[in-house]
Amino acid sequence: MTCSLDDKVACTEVWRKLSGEETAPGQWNDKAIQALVELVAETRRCSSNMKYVPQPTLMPTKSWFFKQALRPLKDWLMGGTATFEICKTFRYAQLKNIVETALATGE
Amino acid sequence: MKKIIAVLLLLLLCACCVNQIKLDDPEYYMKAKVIDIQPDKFITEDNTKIDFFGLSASISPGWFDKKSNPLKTTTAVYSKDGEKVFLIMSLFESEEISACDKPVDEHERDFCSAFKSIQEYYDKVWKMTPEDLKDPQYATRGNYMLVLEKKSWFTKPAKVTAIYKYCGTDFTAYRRDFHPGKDNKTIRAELVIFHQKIRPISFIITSFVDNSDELFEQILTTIQ
Repeated sequence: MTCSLDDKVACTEVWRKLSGEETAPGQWNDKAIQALVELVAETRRCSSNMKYVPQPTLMPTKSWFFKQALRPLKDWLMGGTATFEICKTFRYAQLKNIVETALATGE
Repeated sequence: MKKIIAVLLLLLLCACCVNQIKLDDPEYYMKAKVIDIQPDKFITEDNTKIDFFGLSASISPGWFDKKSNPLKTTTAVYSKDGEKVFLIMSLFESEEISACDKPVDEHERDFCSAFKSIQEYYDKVWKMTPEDLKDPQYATRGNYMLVLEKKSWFTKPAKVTAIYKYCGTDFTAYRRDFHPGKDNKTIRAELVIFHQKIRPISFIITSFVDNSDELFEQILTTIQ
């Protein structure tokens, strides 16, 4: 899937909410986006687990991320409770080095 | 009428059971090997000193030939011959989780009740297993949630093959070793360090080499 500039701008918004850090859309290479997709998927899974809801088989892909995961995340960005803050905190701690390595080195 | 109520209660019970997440996967039963670290007093002049977050460590020469901060000042990339060897980056800047100050509902409240500090969170995720939940003093919903956390921690970003807890004089560290990826550029191991001297700051060392053991041992035995 080729990510558009709008997709990459969305990545900067999500990463800012997760890390508090500013990035440029151009920094979001394929590896970084895939790592962010994984981080968001795990955050959603954590939030669902909190309520003991069974998980459907979730194959996080960029297509899933931009079509289905980003909307609830944007709700959360605006103060909704689709995703728990506590899940965001620990999934970020767990996977931030993967995202930052990809942003820094493209690998 | 009584039969209808009994059937409804049975259905409700079954629905609750179906929704329970079962702790069957091997990740839930991983328990950290605890290793005591003794300071290494035999640091030679040939060693290379690395500085990070107000601490320093001494490692043997040859691990890296370049240090850079391509992303931000709190992330240092150490590379050799153009390939990354290890990264050091900041993790948390406080001991508590701000989300736990104002839990949004009973789920977050239960989760937050299981630990008083970030380090305690790591300690429980690394050491607690479903077996511990059988003990009444640990059989809380919050602890159950922390055991559930093990699935994510020990399968993402890659399957974890071993976990360790290191106890030093003035630090505690938690390590995850990852299953090797398809290329030699993937993360091989990660070490999260909580050091008394820079409390409440914690940081991560990410290794991209096979001999992470050697690298982490040199850092942990000389960190000050």
